[in-house]
Amino acid sequence: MTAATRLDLARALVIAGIILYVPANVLPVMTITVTGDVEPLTVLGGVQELYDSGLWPVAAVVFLASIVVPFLKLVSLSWILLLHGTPHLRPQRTAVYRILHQIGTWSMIDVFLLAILAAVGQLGVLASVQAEPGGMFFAAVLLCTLFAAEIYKPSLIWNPDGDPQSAQ
Amino acid sequence: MTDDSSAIDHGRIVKARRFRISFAWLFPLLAAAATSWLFWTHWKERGPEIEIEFPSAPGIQSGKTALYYRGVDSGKVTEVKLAPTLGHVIVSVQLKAFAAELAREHTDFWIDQPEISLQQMTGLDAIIQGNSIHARLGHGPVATRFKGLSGPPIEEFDEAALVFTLHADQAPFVARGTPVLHHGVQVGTVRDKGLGKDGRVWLRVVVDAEHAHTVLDTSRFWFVPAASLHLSARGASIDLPSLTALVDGGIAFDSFAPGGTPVPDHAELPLAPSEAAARADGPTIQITFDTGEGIIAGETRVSWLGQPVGLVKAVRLDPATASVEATAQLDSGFASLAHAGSVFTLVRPSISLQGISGLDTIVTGPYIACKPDISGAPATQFAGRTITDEEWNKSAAERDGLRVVLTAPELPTIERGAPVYHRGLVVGTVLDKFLGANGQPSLRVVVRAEYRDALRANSRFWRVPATSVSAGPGVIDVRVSGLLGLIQGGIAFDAFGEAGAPAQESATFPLFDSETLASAVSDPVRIAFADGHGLLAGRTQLRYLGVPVGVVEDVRMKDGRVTAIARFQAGFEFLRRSGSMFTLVKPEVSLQGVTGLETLISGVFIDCVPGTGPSLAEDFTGRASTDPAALDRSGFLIHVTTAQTAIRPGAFVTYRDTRVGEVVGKTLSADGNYVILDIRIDEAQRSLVRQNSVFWDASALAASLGFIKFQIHTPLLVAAEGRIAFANPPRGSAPAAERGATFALQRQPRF
Repeated sequence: MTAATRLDLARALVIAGIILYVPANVLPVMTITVTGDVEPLTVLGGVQELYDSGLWPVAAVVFLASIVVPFLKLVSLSWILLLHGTPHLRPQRTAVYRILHQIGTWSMIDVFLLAILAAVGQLGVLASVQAEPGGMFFAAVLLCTLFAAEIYKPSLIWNPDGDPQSAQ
Repeated sequence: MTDDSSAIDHGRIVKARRFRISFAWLFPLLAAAATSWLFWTHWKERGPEIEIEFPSAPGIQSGKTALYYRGVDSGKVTEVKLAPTLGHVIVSVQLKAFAAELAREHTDFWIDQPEISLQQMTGLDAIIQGNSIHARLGHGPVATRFKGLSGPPIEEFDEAALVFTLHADQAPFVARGTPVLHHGVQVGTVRDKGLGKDGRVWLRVVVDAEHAHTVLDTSRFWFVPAASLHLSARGASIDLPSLTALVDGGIAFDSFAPGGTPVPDHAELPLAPSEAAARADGPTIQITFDTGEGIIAGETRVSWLGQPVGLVKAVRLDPATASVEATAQLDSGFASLAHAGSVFTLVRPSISLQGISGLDTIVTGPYIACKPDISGAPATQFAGRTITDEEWNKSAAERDGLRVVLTAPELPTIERGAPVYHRGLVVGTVLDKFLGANGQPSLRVVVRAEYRDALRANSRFWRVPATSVSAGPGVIDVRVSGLLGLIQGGIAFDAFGEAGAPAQESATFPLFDSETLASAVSDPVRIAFADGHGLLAGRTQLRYLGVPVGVVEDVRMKDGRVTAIARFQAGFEFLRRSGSMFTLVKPEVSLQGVTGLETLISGVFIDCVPGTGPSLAEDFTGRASTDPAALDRSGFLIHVTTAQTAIRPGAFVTYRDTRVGEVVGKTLSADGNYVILDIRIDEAQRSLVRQNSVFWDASALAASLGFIKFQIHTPLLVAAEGRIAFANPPRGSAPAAERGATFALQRQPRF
């Protein structure tokens, strides 16, 4: 895979991620039904719910993991890709990329959680948790950022045209 | 040729810089397409937004509560707010596109709430899903503002269902949702229930369109209780109409008359409290009874040939005539029963002389039996009877019967209604029990007309005990005079001897305690006894050759002697001749034998031996069978003296273990130093007593007399009186003892 292809793919995935980020946050990710009380929850709504019920530390964690982190990932990836080929801030870009890569390991935890909730939270008529389309979009956003980060090698920061394989 | 071979132009690799779109851009395109499709469909699903006013909106939440039409999620509440006047709630609903047609005038909206009561549970889904708004489509121009209903409408859907109203006096256990059954199939439901201006309950019933034709103008509606218990002669059965009805009860209807046309919509129909009441829609009749005992309005049936043909609808007490007027309605088709001449009888369980009747009414309750007489003219007023035909006939017979009065010193256990028997037949009844003018308890007895000839002027009445036991040698006879007799006894009469003139109306007769007493019709005789042990007035019999011929009527004390007053049965007057002998026979058990054993069971009796005197006498002297004077016929008396002894009169005197005499007396000597036993030796054996005879007390246990070569064994059974034995010394014989000789009683034989 040439450097140009990698760049194209990464850019396309980031753009797709940005597009998908909108429905992922607008649509409910899950519906919680507790004794007849139907509660469709968007990601932000879930955070709000947690905060309202006094669990603000949990709300903060969820807010960070599910909203801030994907957003920052998209922003930072865009920034790295925009500066591709220029000599500016190469060390910083590398550092940001490292952080991105580290965080990427944990980014699917929300989707994982949703999957578990939907599978386990089936108490018949009393309570049930159902995954909603928002979750799909959310997962898609994360996949886009993951693959974008993986395809865009950090060596391309320093050697924009170089073959990442030969450079190694 | 040059050396400059290096000047070969290899050319330059130039990248073909042509414009190329990477496949990678497919991803953003796909993402954009999916997102825009999503938003487009969401927008497309949106129908008009409507506002509904509700008096209250419990459990309605914006963004969550759904609007359902025919059970389909057709919209979502977007906003709930109070009207500016705070008079009602305004609920904004975002309809879905496919439900946009709901936004029409006259569309009804209501809030579905769970309703849980003992009778029913509705809106169960509301518990699971939360309250929701439901709609019923109206027809009109498009509108966006609606006024919601406070409760569900009568018809949820707009099909051509049949709606009508039922009216009842009361309707417990019926509520919204109560099933309406026809032949056991639910064809509709009760939609609403309320009180009318007339104070009656109305029920709005909706019958499904497909079953609307089953409701005819001849249909009768009635309540089906939740569970009904049927008690009948075949046993008890519990009817559970259906699970819904088990919780709820229900309303059933059926058409009992042929024909009928389907009822129009919004008809007004009556609702009967029971199936029997629903069936009874024929002519109404009034039956007057002496007593209304057991008649229950709405429950007591009118039956003909054992089958229900009507129902008592109302019972009215008429204070003026002290009677009860039952208003009954006959089933349609049995109008012909309401003809003058028909007899209505209230059947209740009764235990009478003839047996037990109306036993079925113990289970089914009293009913009015109808015996129609179709020949008469139609009528609505009837005089009812409270007794069975049999009793009616009987009481009629008793009205024409012969009434007499019986008196007795006392009248235990005989009550009103006790039977009067004549030779085993019930011929009459005790009408009354009262205290006569002279203070004697009296019975008024009626002998039915057809038997009045059986009662003669010389008839004797006696009480028939409930149960009698008569015993004689070899037979014990237990007699139970019928079930009724067992309970209360009765009275029997018969004429002994020649039949007299017919008895007169209101004649007075004595009532004897037993048949024996009643049958003893002779003039009395008085028999004096020294000892009256065992003599019982009314019981002790007089027997001639073992056959009872009379009875002791009374036992009195006279001049220190017991006098038994006895009468003989007809035909045994000859026993009253002077010279007749009367002996009181008592049971006697002794080693000589047992006599009068039958008297152990039957009691003592008086044995009669007719005299030969020329005239009849009244006073006799009786004897006891154990009278010592009677035993003193043979007179070889000797005496035995001893210091003290347990031997009593009656003890045997034996010689060589053979009874030869008896101790007949025991007296103290004049100075009180010793006891004198008088011994009577049988005449035949008097020669055995010698002047040197030795008497000893043989009451003691076995004594061995080996040295005089004979042994005396005391019998195992020694009479309580003791025993005396004597023997003569083996050597030489003394002259025979004199009459009245005295001997000493030895403790042991010693010569």
